[in-house]
Amino acid sequence: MAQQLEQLKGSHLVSLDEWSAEQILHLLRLAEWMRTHRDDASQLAAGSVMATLFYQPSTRTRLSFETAMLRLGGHVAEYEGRSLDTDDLVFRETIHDLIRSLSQIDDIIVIRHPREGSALVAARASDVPVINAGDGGHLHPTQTLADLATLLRLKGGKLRNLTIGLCGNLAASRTAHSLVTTLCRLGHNLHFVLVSTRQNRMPDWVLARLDRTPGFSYEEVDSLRPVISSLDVLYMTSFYPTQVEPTGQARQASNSTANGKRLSRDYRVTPELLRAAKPDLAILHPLPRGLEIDRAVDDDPRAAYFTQISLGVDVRMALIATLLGKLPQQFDESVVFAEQGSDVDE
Amino acid sequence: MSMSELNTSAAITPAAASPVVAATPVTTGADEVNDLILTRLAAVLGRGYVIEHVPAGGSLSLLNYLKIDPSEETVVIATNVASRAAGHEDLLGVRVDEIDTDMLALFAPHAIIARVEEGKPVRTVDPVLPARVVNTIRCVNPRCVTQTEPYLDQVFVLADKNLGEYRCEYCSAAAQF
Ligand SMILES: [Zn+2]
Repeated sequence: MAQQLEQLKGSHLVSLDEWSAEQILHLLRLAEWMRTHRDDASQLAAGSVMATLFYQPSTRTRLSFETAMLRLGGHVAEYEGRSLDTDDLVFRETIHDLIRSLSQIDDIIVIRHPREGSALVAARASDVPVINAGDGGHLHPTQTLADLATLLRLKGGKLRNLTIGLCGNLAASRTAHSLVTTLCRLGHNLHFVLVSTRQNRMPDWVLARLDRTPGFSYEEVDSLRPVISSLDVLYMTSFYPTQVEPTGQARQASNSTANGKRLSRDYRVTPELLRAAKPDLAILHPLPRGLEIDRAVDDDPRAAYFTQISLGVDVRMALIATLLGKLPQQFDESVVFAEQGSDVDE
Repeated sequence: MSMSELNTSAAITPAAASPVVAATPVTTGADEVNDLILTRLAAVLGRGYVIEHVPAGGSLSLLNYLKIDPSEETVVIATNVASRAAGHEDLLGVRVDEIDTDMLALFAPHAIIARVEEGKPVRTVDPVLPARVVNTIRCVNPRCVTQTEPYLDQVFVLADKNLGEYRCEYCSAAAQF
């Protein structure tokens, strides 16, 4: 039971591919425990220090990690992100040297870096656990954990017999790729409806993964309107490419002009669209959003994207406690999703 | 159907009854002309290796990858030869004692290689795709961490055995040869 998580003590999270399906499910259960046992969790990481190293600004992700550590009773050392943000080889310390040094000071390191593969370099250099908080357009495993936690929470603790729509720039969305490929390992009988323009199709390697997974199927369509009534889950993604990660004004501009014009009714969630949707549809979005979700949808009970953020703190609490080897004694995972029935067939 | 055909099909002897196992000839699968070329290449070399199904015109770069210097070693090449299997292909003979079959599998995945002894191809060597390739392929992804952390080894791992697809260990970008 908790043994699966004990094995992860001292390891890193660079990619979810390195974890077994069971380990991921156990971690999601621990996250659910964290959500319902705030007091029991409040001293688990007392005395430990987490370094956050954000070479690339992402306020939401950084605060989620920092809050998770604080809720576990630990401390946070925030390293100046902006001063590190340079590709100048002469003046910059290597990732290897910096992380090797930090791992002598802190107990766990969270890194976000624009270079793809940087988290692996950091993990190999470190003597303490390293968590990948996004390495460019490559991987962002804790976002996927938050997405999965939201699905489990809203779909009765099960990842089976669902029709899941994904809509937006599916070619560029690392979170959509990661969610689909991880569901290929954790889910049963899932049907995917991939909604995008021809240019923004889901990449072939992801489709190949779906083809190879027994019980899984997919269809590709170019509008939400004809398919909305069939969906149990709708995962929306931004239209700007995540690899580029435009910040601030650049993102605003790209959302309001070019994308705004292109983003027809076919790819937008509006109250009108939702009239045809199931009453228990769950609408997810990794945020930040552009125009793809109308703000009028925010107060609809089917909007789950702010729930995702809250559950993101729970999964990060579970992750930090697991990697530090500070698992709660009281954690009895058999009862976590008991009211809905557990998804694991072990 | 004639009697002789019937006899032939009926004459399959059970394995246990066959007195000796004949030496397996080197079957290369190329056309007869190409077989002839290979035989000649082997005869010229005396010892070493003959390689077929090298992509047409790719012999010199293959030698480069195999780190065989044509000004140091004896090399015989037939380029752009018609082939039933590959359309056109190169045939290549090299007089060396050892050959890096990992690299051969990597850069000419359809190639078939045979060892040459005493002027004759004696047995085929099965090249196997290596699981990891270090400092041979460079990652071309401009966003890859190896572009800005130059002390890192360039490591590619075999992502798909059937497709022979390699990906950068850091950024997962597909290898471009
Ligand atoms: Zn790379």
